[in-house]
Amino acid sequence: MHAEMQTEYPTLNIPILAINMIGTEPGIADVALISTLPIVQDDATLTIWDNWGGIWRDVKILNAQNEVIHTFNLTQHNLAPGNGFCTDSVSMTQSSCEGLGETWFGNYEYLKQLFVDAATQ
Amino acid sequence: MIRLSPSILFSTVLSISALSIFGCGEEEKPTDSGSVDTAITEDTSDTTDTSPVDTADTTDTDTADTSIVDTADTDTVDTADTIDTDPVDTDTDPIGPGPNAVVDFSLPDTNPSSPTIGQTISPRDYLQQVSGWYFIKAT
Repeated sequence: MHAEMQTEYPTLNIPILAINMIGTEPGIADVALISTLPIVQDDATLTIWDNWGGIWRDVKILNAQNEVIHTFNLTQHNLAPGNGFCTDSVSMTQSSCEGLGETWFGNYEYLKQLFVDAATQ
Repeated sequence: MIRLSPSILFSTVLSISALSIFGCGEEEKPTDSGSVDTAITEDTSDTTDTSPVDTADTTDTDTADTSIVDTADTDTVDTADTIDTDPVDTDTDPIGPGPNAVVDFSLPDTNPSSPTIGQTISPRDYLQQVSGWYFIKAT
């Protein structure tokens, strides 16, 4: 998604970084195989996760004043194709959602749009 | 030969003297006017003389003033305005952390695949722009 935004919206220059959970440092080598995102390692002194109120797979979007304006959890909102949510909060598929006259949001597109909207406000 | 009495002769001489004084005075007016006209002509010359001086002065002054003052003023004011505007913009641009800003930290990038490996990362580096932070378990 980061690379996609850089290509589609180069002037927005939205960085995405990762904060690794305390105690999981050895796994960074594995993550490096599939991701080039900058990663900082949380520790017992800084306790970034606690201070920021973050949980596993949260994506927190900060505004230009370093304030959290959106939190989007990727466990609840899987970014794999076909996953999304409906405005009726009940329908689980795009077809059933739109069949009821509701609006369907794909998780991936929704999160991406959150970034773009935040950067263009 | 006519003989004039002394009284008649005296009267005649007196009349001629009076004509010389008053009658000739009337005849001298045109002469005086001529002198005055000549003087006026000379005054006109003076006016003409003044005009070139004024014109020269005006031309010189206008040209000099317009060229130097206007150009200098415009450049200076415009430049000053631009400079004044920039500092204001600069003052506006550096937005500090908001009242609900996340707690700051400063840590190195530990991802060996990242182009910024080893470089210090702080959320404050991303003031003035939107940033995304992903909470991961690197397992």
